[in-house]
Amino acid sequence: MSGLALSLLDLEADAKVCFEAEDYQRRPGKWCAGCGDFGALNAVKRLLAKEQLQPEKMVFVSGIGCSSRFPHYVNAYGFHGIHGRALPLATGVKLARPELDVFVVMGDGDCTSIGAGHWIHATRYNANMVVLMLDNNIYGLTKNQTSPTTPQGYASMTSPRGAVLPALDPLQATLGISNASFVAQTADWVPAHLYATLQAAYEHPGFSFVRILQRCPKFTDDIFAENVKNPDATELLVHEEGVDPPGLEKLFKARRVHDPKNIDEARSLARRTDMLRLGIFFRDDSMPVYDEVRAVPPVTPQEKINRLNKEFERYAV
Amino acid sequence: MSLAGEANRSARGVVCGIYPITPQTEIVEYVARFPFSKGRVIPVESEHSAMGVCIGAALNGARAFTASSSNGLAYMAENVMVAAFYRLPIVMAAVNRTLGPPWNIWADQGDTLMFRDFAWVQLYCDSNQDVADTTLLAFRLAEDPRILLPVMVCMDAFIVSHTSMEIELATQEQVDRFLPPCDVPQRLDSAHPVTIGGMAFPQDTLSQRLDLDEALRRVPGALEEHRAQFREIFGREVSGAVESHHCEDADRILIASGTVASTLRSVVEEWRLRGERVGMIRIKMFRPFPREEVRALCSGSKKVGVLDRNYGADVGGIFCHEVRAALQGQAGVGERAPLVQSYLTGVGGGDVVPDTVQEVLEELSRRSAAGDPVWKGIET
Repeated sequence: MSGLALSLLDLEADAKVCFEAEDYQRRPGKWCAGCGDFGALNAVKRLLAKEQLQPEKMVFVSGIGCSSRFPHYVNAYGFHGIHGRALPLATGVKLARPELDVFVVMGDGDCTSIGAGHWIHATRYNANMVVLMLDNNIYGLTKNQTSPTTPQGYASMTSPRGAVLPALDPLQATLGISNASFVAQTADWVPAHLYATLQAAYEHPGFSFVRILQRCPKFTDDIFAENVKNPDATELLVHEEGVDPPGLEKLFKARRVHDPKNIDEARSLARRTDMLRLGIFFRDDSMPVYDEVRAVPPVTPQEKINRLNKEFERYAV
Repeated sequence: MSLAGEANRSARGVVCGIYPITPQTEIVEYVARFPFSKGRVIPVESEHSAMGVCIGAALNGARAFTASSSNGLAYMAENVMVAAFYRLPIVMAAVNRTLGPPWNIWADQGDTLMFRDFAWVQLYCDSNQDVADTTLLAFRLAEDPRILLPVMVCMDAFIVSHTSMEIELATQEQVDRFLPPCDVPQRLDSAHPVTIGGMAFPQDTLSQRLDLDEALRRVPGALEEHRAQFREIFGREVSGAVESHHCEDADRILIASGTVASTLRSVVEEWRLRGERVGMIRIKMFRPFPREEVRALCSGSKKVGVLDRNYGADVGGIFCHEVRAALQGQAGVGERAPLVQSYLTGVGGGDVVPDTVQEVLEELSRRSAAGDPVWKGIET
């Protein structure tokens, strides 16, 4: 046995055969105490451990903002990109290396404000990736300025007399885009639901858009306070094709059976403002996936010869 | 930093497209705080849109203002160019912050200097007072019918933007005298509706670029007139295109812009007390570049050292590149042009302290010929 083979064997002997959730934490997260981003990071670590994903086989792409620090804390390849541009970067990664698992982490500023154009087109491309849109309803990194998802009338440093416009609804917007294939909403303060939603998003072949309502203890703690305190203000969308984590039925009395295949019902539910709704609004695993549509099929040697001969025939004298 | 916002607020009736980015955010927060009777503050979804709002407002004759920094300016770039190429008198406060990657929030002028060929007037301030006064001056200059160009009021991140000093603020009455309601040719004229943005042939573009160049050339003269008006109304000086100390008999001259120039000033004073024939120039106006002034001030010197808080790919410091071009092969610089050496100081936001300037002066004094740019602050 050669020396090289021996060393490979040694490597295999040392290789980690089982990853714990904590193995995926590269360094401690640096967010404010009580930030909902920690909840999202924990759920992601659980998912990675459940799936036993190899750190070198996945990529986390982010833009700019508090949540975009995410890739620094995950033990995987990461790219802390440009403000609003996480989605095109991630699309490039996926197209170049379709075998990698791609995760995109954006805030409401990144996704629905400066990068909104990419959000529409990435949804339409439907490349296979999991998109975490951490929505705290405010620009947190620059410290308290109105975002498109800030509720109307809510005061911030750039709208001291309250946000003028009604908030942009990311669910309604995404559900309105052609070729949308997976649209879900969850919340950082319901860890079991957050985890189950990410699991479903990971399993979905295509662009899985998950809006994670995220508490910002510094600037928008009060926006979600009622829902955090009172589970009766939240309705869970449940279905055998959706998410229904065990144990939550005791906490959340309001439950609605919603078939995620029903886009009209999904749009109607997204439009309603009577209650907060968590769950998978829409899911269709049959939508064309961009990295598959654009995949170059392998060419056999015979096919190459045929093509060459065809080309040569053009110049035959 | 809110001083740029305050100067803008007191100019009244302004349309502002605003979008936050560190360390500019306080400016737009400041203008958002005040209910304008005639103006509008519009929190938009990106820097590109912030300048877009200003362009739309200025096309209709409104006074327009915005502020940004670093990568925000990079994203805004397309509209920054459009603002000047349509001769729109927009004022922008730009807080000089290092362009990423790598992500860095400290002072570096690379962000605004990327617009060096966009035909904006660029003024680099060195103190809080300078920012407050220059912003008012900028509106006046921009709206001058001979100029009609946008003006960028630049300041170093944190060193100016996040420090406080006692300053003299203008009264509203003074500002109203200095800046009467905006009166520029661009306005909605329902009797003569026009469409802007048509296709042009090479000859048209050539004429338009020449037109921009001629407008830029009128800036120095106009600037002096408006400074005189400023002096008369506010009772104090606002700095001009260049500021210099001890250049008359200096054999060595240091040149810098922004806050680095303040450090030069104190070191040069110290060396003068020791009998060294050194001088300094602070270049406040980068566009149009004050070539004549720089030539005249450097005419008797043997060596010129330019300290740049920016990096011009392949050329060393960008101000140095301009100084070298201004001095090269021109009449009036003595028998031969002085050697011009580039020093990259504070690139990426490092501190430029008196010791840094001492080292530069010592290095320049030893030099017999100009060489590659000298990178200061690299840890070895």
